[in-house]
Amino acid sequence: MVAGPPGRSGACGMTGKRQSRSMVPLMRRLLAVLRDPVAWILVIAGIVELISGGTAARGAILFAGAGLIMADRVRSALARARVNHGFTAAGGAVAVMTAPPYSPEPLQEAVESRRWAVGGIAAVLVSALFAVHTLPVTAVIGIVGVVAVGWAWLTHPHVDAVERPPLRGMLIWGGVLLALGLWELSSLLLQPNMVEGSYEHPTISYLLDPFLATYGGKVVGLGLWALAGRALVRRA
Amino acid sequence: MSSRAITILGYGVIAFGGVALGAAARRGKAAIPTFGSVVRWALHTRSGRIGLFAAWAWTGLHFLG
Repeated sequence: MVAGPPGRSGACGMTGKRQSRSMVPLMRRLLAVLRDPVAWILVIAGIVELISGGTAARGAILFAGAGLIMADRVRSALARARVNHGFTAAGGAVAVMTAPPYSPEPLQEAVESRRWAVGGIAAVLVSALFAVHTLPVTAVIGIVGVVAVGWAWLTHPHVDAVERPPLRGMLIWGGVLLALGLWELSSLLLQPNMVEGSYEHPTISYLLDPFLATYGGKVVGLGLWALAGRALVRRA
Repeated sequence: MSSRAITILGYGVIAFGGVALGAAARRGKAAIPTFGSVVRWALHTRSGRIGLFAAWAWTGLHFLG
C-alpha cells in the first residue's frame, strides 16, 4: 500500500470545506433575489392588473420587468461567486475583467434629435386616430415599452455616482404614491365587480376614459406618455 | 356628499399633496428631495431602472393601449 503525499488528503478536505463555505454566500445572494421590493411591487401590480380584467400585454410587461430584475440579480450573484472563486483559486488578488457595459448614450443622444422629435409627434398624431385599447395603439405602445424595458436592462447608468437623496424624503414621496395606489385600489374593490367600472367609486382610468375618447384627449395622453419616456431615457 | 364626490376629492387631495411636496422640495426649505432627484437616483440602481421603465410602459398600456 502506497501512501499518498503527506498532507494531500488534508488539502482536499480544505478545498471541500472552502467550496462548501463559498456556496453559502452564493445561496444567500440567490435568496436575496426574492427580497427585491421593486420586483415584488411589479408582481403584485401584475396580479391586480390581471384580476381586474386587464389585457395579457399589461400584465406581461409587469411580470417581464420583475423577471428581468430577478435575472439581473442572479447574474450578478453568479458573477460575484465566480470572482470570489477565482480569488481563492489564485490564492491572492486577481484582476477582475468584465465586459464593458453597453453605453446608453446612442439612444440618449437620439431622443434629443429633431428627427426623433418629428417622428414622435407624427407617431402620436397617427396613433390618436385610433380608439384607445385597440390593436394599433396597443401595438405601438407595447413595442415602444418592450424596447425601453429591454434597453434599461441591457444598459448601465451613464453616470456612476448619483447622490442618494435623504431616506426620509424618499419615504415621503413613497407615501404619496402608496396613498394614490391604495385609494385607487379601494375604488377598484368598491366596483360592482373587478371588471365593471363604477360611477360612484371611479378609478383613475374610469375618470379619464371620456377624455381619452376624444382625438385631443388621445393626443395629450399619448404626448405626455411619450414625454415621460423621453425624460426617463435622458435621466438614465 | 356623494360617494363619487368623496372618491374624486380623495384623488384631488393626494394630487394636491404631491404638488405641494414638489413645491416645498423646489424651494429647498424642508429636507425633501425633488421628485426628479428621487427618480434620477432610482434610475441609477439596477432594479429601480428596470422597474421605472416597466411602470412607464404599463402606464401607457393601462390608460391608452
